[in-house]
Amino acid sequence: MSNTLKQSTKSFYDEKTLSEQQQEALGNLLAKHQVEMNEEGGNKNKGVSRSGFWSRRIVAGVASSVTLALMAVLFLFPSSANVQGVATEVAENHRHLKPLTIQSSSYQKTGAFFSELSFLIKESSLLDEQRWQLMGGRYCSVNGVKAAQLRLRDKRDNSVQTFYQVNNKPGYFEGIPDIRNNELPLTVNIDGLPVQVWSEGGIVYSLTRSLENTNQL
Amino acid sequence: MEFNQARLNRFYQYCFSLTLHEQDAYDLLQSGIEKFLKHPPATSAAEEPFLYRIIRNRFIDQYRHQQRFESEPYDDEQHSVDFDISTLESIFIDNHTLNKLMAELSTVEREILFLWAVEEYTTQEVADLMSIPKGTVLSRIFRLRKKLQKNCDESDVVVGGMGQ
Repeated sequence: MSNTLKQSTKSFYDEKTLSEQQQEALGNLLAKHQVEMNEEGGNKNKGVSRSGFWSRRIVAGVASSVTLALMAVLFLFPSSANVQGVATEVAENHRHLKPLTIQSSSYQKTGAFFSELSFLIKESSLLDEQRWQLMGGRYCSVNGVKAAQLRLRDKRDNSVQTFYQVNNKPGYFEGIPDIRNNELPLTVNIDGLPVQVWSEGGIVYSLTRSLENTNQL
Repeated sequence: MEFNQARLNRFYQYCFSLTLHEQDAYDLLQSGIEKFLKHPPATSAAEEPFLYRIIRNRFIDQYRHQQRFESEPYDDEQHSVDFDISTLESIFIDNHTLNKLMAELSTVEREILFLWAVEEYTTQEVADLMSIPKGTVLSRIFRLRKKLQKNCDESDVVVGGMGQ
């Protein structure tokens, strides 16, 4: 199927992303630079005497190492994520729609593809299956946790929406409403894009569509 | 400039448009950022184009040296062209053909394509970033369009009328 040259070129480059290791390495490079800048600023303000030079260097070196280690740990293993954090990442990924790795309208077939997830993807009771048609999915991450990025077609207006599912790790996701406790999904507006977040049966769901004052979407 | 994940990926994609090789693109990005951090621009508004230029110059230094970058002069042709970069808007192409075509395009053509399609730069902005005359960018687009038209005869590429 042909797209405009611009769309096809964007899709081509959207598939080119840094690996986690590469991102980590660049993160370390930037963090190291920040530490050096801070040190340099501190030295300019205080002045460095020759007698205390080496002891200060050692202290600064240890502090840099600890800071870098902490930043690396935070980068790799974020401690928690809230509704805003989830919605922001979902909105960002929705705006850069990447090609689907599996294309299928079957949850069973698509679920079999996501074998690396610790849970089985499933429809949420909030979504009206007569209205939403599954198109397929690809792996992604939400706040550092491996997730399924599904694509749904809204039969009402034929629009394509992004639907995330991620394991609701105990103590990790904070403030996510659980609809089984009769809590309503939260809607966060990210630069004009409404993103809904809720949890159900141990899964955090997020959909790029606004709540329409009904019990079911 | 905040180097978040999306921005790093965007710069990486630019590097890939130059190198057409994933590891080379990463190496180029890393060395570009290192130089950027050592010698940042005076104003924050100029940071993004500044990093693009660093990456570009490093690429030319490294790869021209290895004769992997075309050595033809940029201003070798100054066609009288009466179209703009937006003429590319009228071209339709499927992903498979584009993947194949990428390897056949010159580095400069890929770069122009990236800056236009992904960064959505105008002809003048492309010329400024590449430090070449606008007329040279236009003649490159002319050449790029001809290549696409050639593919049109061979595969699933559709070229519409000239847009302005």
